[in-house]
Amino acid sequence: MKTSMSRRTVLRGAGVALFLPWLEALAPRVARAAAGSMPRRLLVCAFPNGAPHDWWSTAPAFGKSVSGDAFQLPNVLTPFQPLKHKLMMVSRLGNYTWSHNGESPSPSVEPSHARCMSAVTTCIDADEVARKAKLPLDSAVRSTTSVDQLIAQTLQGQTGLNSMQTGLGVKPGFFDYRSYAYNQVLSWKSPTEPLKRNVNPRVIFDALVGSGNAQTPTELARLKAREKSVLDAVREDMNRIKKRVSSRDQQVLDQYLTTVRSLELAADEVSSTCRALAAPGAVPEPPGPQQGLSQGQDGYDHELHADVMNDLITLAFECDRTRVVTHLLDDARSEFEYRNIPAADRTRVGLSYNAGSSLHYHGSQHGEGELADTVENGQYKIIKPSNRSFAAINAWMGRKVAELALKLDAIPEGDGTVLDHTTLVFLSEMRTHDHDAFDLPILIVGGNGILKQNTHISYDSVGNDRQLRDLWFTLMRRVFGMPVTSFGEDVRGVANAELTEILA
Amino acid sequence: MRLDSASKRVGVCLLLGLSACEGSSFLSLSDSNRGEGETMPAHLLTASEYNATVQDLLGVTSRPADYFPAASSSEFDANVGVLASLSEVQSEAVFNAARDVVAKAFESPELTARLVTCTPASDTDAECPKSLVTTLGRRAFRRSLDDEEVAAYLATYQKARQSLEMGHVDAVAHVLRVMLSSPSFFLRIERPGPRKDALESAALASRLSYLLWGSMPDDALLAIAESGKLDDDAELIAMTDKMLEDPRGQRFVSQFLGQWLGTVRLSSHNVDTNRFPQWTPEVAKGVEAQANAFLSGFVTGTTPWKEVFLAPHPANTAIQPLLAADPTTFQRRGFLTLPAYLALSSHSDRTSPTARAKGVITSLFCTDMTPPPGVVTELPPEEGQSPRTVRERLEAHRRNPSCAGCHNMLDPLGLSLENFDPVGRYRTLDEGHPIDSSGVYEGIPIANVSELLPLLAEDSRLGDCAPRKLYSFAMRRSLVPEDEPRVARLSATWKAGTLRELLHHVVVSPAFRGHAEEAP
Repeated sequence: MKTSMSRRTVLRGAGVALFLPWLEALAPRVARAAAGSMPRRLLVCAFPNGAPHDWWSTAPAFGKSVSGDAFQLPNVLTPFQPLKHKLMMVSRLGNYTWSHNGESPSPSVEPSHARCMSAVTTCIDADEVARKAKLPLDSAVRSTTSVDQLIAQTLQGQTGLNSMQTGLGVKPGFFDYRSYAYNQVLSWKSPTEPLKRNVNPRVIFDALVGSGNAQTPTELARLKAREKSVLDAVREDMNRIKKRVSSRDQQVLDQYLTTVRSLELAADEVSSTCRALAAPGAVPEPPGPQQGLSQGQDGYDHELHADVMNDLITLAFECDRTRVVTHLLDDARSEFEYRNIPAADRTRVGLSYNAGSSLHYHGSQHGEGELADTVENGQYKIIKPSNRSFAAINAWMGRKVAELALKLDAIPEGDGTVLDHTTLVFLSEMRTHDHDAFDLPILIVGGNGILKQNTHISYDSVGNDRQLRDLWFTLMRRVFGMPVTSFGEDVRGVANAELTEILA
Repeated sequence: MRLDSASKRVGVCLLLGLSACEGSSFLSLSDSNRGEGETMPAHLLTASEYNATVQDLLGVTSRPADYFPAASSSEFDANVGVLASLSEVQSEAVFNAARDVVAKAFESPELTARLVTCTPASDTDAECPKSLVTTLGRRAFRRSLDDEEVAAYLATYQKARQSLEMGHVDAVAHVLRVMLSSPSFFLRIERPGPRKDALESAALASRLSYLLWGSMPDDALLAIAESGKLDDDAELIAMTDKMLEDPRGQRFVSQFLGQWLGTVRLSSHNVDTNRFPQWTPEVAKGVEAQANAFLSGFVTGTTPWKEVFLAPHPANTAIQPLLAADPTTFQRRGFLTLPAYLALSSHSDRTSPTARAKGVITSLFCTDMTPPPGVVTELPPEEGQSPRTVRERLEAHRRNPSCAGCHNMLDPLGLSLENFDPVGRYRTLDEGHPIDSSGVYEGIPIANVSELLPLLAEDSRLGDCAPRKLYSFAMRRSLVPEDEPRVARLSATWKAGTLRELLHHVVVSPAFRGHAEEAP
């Protein structure tokens, strides 16, 4: 007898251990590793609202780089210390060349939350795309295929799930009078198909384990037959419905039919097991802006939520269920109050511990702190240091991503680890308190030996800086071996060029 | 010099750019339905509709759609423009939910007995399975099944019995799972009717039930719609009234008014309870109940909408801690002094006069206040040692010319509500400073909110705005230019009466019934 589904969001309860289906057993993965064909994975961990000034406290001067012992991690990133030799910080990249505020491109993009987040993996101005398509900005869902999906397309059919979109945004904020698609999406399968981040570990888990928890071959056969029968019947049903509806409605039905086909493939793949994992509890999707969960509400714990997602992403890579994951650490312009942040993260950045303080993410972004766009001693001048609440939230997010990286680094693969064969890009869509789209905080771990490590590279100051589109362009060409000739937009008409400085 | 309100609004438009002008956001939707004599585009049920439909169909109250990837729109959640594209994750979610909710229903012997109402007399008895397919299918698809569909679902049943070796009950569950995985269930698909009818007659039952009940039609409503009786205006109005009196009619209040006026957000509204310990879970529930009771008065009661700023508040003992400091000479009335509105329009720890005023201007008056690009829309939290009142900080904000255009209109309204703290308690001090709630609204000096409310109640935008909102909610889409004469007609005939009267006008309109519009 199953327990009844409760709306309480207990994340890690007494779940039944389900066996994970996967394509190949562990042995073939090791064999493939020995054969020298290492997987190349992409993991984008994006955080909204920019970083406190602490992020750049150890950055080299504009146009310079530091490596080895001279390269130090800033206080907000110290949990990455054990992996420092496997990572690289890349500073002073912008993502504004697509921006179109009136007559000339500007690094100030408004409304910043929606437009910057929608650009972080696409490097185009979604508003401009909508305007060109004559769609109203308040409901348009239009962008371009994102970098992770371009990479995923080249891996089509190699893993059970082509890509996975996870997230931790349980209390989204105001959407800047635009569709959810800009604040809650990192992956665009096509210019009209946003793949929204999924905050519900239960759904991710179901996708990872496929269609069931069969423990014996007989059970497995019965389960497959049942699933096949449902899918067959649904497909026939849709062919009947299509005859009776308009061509406009047929398009919607075709979108469903495509999914049913992919579910059919997944049902066929149910075979061997990788490793057991307890089924996580469910977290409800927030029903809309300014709605959702707060820390402690109905037993919800944000720390645990982040841990469970880390476990699932690790499992997805370990069992080779997918090689492309985008993980959105919070929705753009989140209304979440980070009351969950433990004293250790707070004191690391000098925030005196106060159990009652709200740690409202967007509120602290608008709190004290001001970074100039003028230059002083090879750095941007700090006019007012960032408030400590904003720093504490960033320190917490850094720790959760570091913990994920460490989990991946603990899984051996070939001569190295799963992390070595992953390009983990930890970045934000905007700079800092100012909501600007230049000087983005970026950290890259792993990279299949193709990227520099134990290094901090700074590009030039705004105006002479390089752009994020060139980073994605370089990663696609060099790490993923894709023959792309351009990515993103630049209203000045400047062509893409590789960031050769980041290559090993 | 006093400007009349129309030219004032033009001034704001010039300052804010076109986006602030009423009506200017109506761009053509190339593939959208213009309203009359046409089917709505196929689109997903909203999350709340899916939950309610599963509950009404199967008796399962697990609210599976709370875990779906939501498609949030900026206005109503039922906006077809947002729901009409089906992403892979959404498709997977509805497919998996079908499996889970049917399994859940069949875990309960009681629910199973309600669904599986017959047992075949023998292995060759086709009558029982056929009647189950016909009745369950008609409920799930909100229309009678075509002969071809009956045959196909019967075949699915037989296959489950034979090759999948299922018993009768399991096979019925299997068929139900297929039905719930069908787009005919989780999408709202309107099929063209026979002859020249734009829609099948059953489609009107769904239009009514999703408007008024937020859920599927029941057997009786479907039968009346399929009989064609609802073609008669009087029958249609009588049915609307009957549906509003049903307990499911409360979903109209919670969905339409709740989304329009924001009260759906109450259950997850953040309050800093260190500063406002009065905001206990019991009080919060009372606040929501009071707001719903207040709003129901305009739907099932006899209060006309023109009273929304002035109507008395329903009594509610749970919220007494919030009313304790009210002066004896002060009588709360109207939507704006409900603790629900005052709390929702505040931050967790401080009031936001701008948000409070914007709620009135944008929601109740339908005047777009979209700020121009580059304008900061947030009042920074307090900084430094000396606390400043919200009024002082706003005045600093207003000195910026790009902010002044809006704030000159917003601030008198918002500041008049400064006598109420972030949980709606009456106060005379803000951070130790005396509160000044006076101002000049539309050229008329006001001393406090009691003097402002009658001015707001006279505003003609009040009676023009509600028809726009209800029409948009009923048609499940943003307004297009062709709708302007229709909503103008609605507001002229309605005259800010009760919302039930407005509903009558909307349901008999040609657009809602899918009739071609008669020439004027």
